[in-house]
Amino acid sequence: MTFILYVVLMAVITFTCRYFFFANVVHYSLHPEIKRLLKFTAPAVLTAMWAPIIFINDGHLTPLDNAYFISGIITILAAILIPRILPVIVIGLISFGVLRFFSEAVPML
Amino acid sequence: MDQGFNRGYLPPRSTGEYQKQAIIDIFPLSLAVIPWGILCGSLAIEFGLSAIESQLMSLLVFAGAVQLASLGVIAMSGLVPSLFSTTFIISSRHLLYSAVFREDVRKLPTAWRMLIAFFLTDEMFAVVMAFKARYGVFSEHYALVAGFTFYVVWNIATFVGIYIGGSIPDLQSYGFEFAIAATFIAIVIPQVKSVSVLVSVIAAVITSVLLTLSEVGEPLMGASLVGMITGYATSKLLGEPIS
Repeated sequence: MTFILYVVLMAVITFTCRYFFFANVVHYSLHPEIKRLLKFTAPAVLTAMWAPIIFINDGHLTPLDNAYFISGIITILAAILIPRILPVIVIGLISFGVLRFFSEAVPML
Repeated sequence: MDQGFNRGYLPPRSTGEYQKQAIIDIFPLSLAVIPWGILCGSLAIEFGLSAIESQLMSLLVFAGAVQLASLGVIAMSGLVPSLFSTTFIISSRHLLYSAVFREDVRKLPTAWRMLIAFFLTDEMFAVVMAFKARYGVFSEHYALVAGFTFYVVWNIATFVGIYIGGSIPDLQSYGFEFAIAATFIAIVIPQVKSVSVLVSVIAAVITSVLLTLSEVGEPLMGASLVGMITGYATSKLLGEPIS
């Protein structure tokens, strides 16, 4: 029962972080320089999430012949060439699936 | 199926189309998160929580990283204050998302703002930013449906995890993480339209790799901040326009 109380308090914390700047208590507009900084939120935070998946393997740099690394590079190249999200994801996943399939069939890859 | 839906760079024409587009766009991320939802549910049971407590975590807290970390904290130390400080540290990036959406969301009624905040996750933020970059508009209908779809999938996955309990196979070996990486790459790369964003992305890659390798501090928070600050500094140095 106490754990339910903890869960509720955790939910209050997560919700507060999500709602904080939505609150209309303060009617100021964000300073232009803050807006300039916030423009980099999406590229920086999302990159901080995908980069370790591609470039780190078991606490070390991913080997260059690893499916995560190769398919990561293929996905990046596809994203540069094709400005549409879904086809890029599909290309990335297919390349990953194929590489994983062959790395299981051919242990050296 | 209506014709002309998904027509290049023209935005959807009706609320229904916004909602449909939101479900399509969040779909790959929803699939990729299923294993983590199952993991959250089954680990919660393994750590001795009741089924209701385990499901309430996903229903109320609705934050995968927080949920997994909290189980770890309870198991390792049992210290309640560290439970809440961990929750805050992991959630603090949502403060940034909330600041980014502020201008778009401020005009909406309180109920709408609260709903969008409740469903604001990394994944919802990512697809809404991609949508904004593509069509130049923010749609609350799009944001809400994307967030809600993700919420439903997350909770069903948690339920499955609770149901199968501790008997799950080694999910990490299947490589589901790659789907998340591929989606975020597909969302981030098209947003690299200026030198400053390029610098920001490269700085975030290098910092996240170095911090993860050296096992110092918080790689996610550190790399996010370094990426944002280097991007900002570059933009300032080059005199790029703000919007």
